[in-house]
Amino acid sequence: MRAGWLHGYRGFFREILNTGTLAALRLQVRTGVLHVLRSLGRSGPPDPVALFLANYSADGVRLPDAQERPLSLAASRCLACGLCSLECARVAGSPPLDPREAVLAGSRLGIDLARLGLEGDLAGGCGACRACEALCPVAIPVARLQARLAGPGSGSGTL
Amino acid sequence: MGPRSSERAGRALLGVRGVVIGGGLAGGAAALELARRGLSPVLLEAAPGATALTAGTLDVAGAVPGSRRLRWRAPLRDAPLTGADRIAILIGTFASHPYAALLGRDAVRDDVATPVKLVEAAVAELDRALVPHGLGVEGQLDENRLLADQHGVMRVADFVFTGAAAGSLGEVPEIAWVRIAGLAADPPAVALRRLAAERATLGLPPVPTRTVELRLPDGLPVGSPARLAAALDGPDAPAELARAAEAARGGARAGCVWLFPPVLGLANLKTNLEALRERLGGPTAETLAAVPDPTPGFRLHRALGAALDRAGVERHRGRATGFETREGRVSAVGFVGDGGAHGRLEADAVVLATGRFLAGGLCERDGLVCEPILGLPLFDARGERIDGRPARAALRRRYLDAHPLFSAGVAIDARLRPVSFPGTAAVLTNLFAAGDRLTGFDPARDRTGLGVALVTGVLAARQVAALASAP
Repeated sequence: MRAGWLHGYRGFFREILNTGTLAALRLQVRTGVLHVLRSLGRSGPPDPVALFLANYSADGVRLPDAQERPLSLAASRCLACGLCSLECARVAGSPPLDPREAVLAGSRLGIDLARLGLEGDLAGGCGACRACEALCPVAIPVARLQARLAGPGSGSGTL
Repeated sequence: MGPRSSERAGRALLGVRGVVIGGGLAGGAAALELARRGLSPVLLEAAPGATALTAGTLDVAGAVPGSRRLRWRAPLRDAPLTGADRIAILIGTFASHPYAALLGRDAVRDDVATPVKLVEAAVAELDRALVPHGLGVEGQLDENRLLADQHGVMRVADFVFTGAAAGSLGEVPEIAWVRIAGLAADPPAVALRRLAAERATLGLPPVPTRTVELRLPDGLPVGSPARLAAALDGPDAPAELARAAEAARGGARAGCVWLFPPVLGLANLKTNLEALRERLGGPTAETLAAVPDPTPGFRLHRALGAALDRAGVERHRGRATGFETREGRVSAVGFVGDGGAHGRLEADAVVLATGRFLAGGLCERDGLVCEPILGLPLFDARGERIDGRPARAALRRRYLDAHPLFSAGVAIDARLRPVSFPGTAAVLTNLFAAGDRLTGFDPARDRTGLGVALVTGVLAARQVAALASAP
């Protein structure tokens, strides 16, 4: 059991040997040493959710919202074909976010919008004419995603 | 002629109601053909499929299967093959290729004229239907047009839509690669290096190239290909493009081919290309497109829709869910429309052109591949069953392998009617299938994608018409 535990840290040495860079070393120390020390100092089994948030909330990850799950799943069907963007441009829609980008962002609902590199003011949303939806091969509710991205919470850059 | 035509009109009035299911080229071609024959068709469309994602070509027989590597390059290295030769090779290679079922296994070798005439007539009709809506089809079955896509990768095509049509790069004095300032694209040097390497593979002599940067007037949305294409539909676009081209022209050889990114307008493409050609003095064309900027497919989708409206085709939006049958015939098609409302279309004959996986013509249900309307068995190009298995089981490990899943479709009899197993009787006597719904071909590999859709769509419509004129 103990050997198996060590087994996971083979990469630590290999990475340093292979790259020899300081950045790699720092990252390896963080994951390989600090992480281990922290887990040793903890008493009892940790709360997985709290642990998850402690580790990743700084990177913009939020807990998935059960209500957003269907929307997020629908967005993850996206083929990135771009027909929605063309149709939106043709009907002269002026959404703050290009429809295809809105869908790609929507498939990552649960991530801090600020981390997605979205620019401009999202408030207001698109005109909800739904022209794009008629052209989507996989029937993604693009207008609803646009509304969600423009909705409450988006101003502060979080979902 | 008199009595016959009035007789025909009488039958049309009596109404053989042909319902076409599928909003792509196969369904569109079938509906247009029925409308041309005076049988008012009904079209049920769910979602755009592969047609709306075409790179800009209509490939009828663009490749020569059999050579393991660089399959489409073979016709250039060896003696150029005629279109009939290529169809014959396709039929000889894939026993269940739709062309074989349609044209007869021996028809091509014995009588070359028939399939060629059939294909050319179908393309000419499509061209006639699309031209009023700003899109045409150019080319010949015997032609090997060498086209480059926006990354500089080349391919052979026989028929090409307006846009890339004039961009053939076979024997040309010079190639000018146009970059629009501000528009994201491969660095021209990278694309041109790729182009040169591709030409060398084909055994073509090196050709001088030049990179040209086009500065469009301020205010045009050059940041997004989609917005730019829509903006170039404006009334000032031809003049603005010509002015920008004038500034970029300097010292090109006569006959230089000018290649633009595929953003030169949606409906006004032809006008823009002509304005540029006038100013530049050589052939002007767009490169072929690559997803995620499917401008050519979008144009085709739009033009096809406009042509269907113009032909008076009754169109419904919805997804077919099942058939009502009576005495071995379809009598009605059930569908679910927008918002979940159920609908029903009376039918005397049905053309099933719902495509493969993209728009949901075939799907994975409960983890198993299936044909959702009738639950028909599906076969791959080698004739092996692939329904009732996970999609993953019909994929090979390597990306470029021939994946059985990509040639999945239903088997048909000689009259395009789906059958349960090859050689058995038709499932329903008035149900015909067309396009990607058929088995036996892999459009991405044998380059017969939209060609099969067009030809089988037209032929399925003829079968419906034959029912109408049967005693």
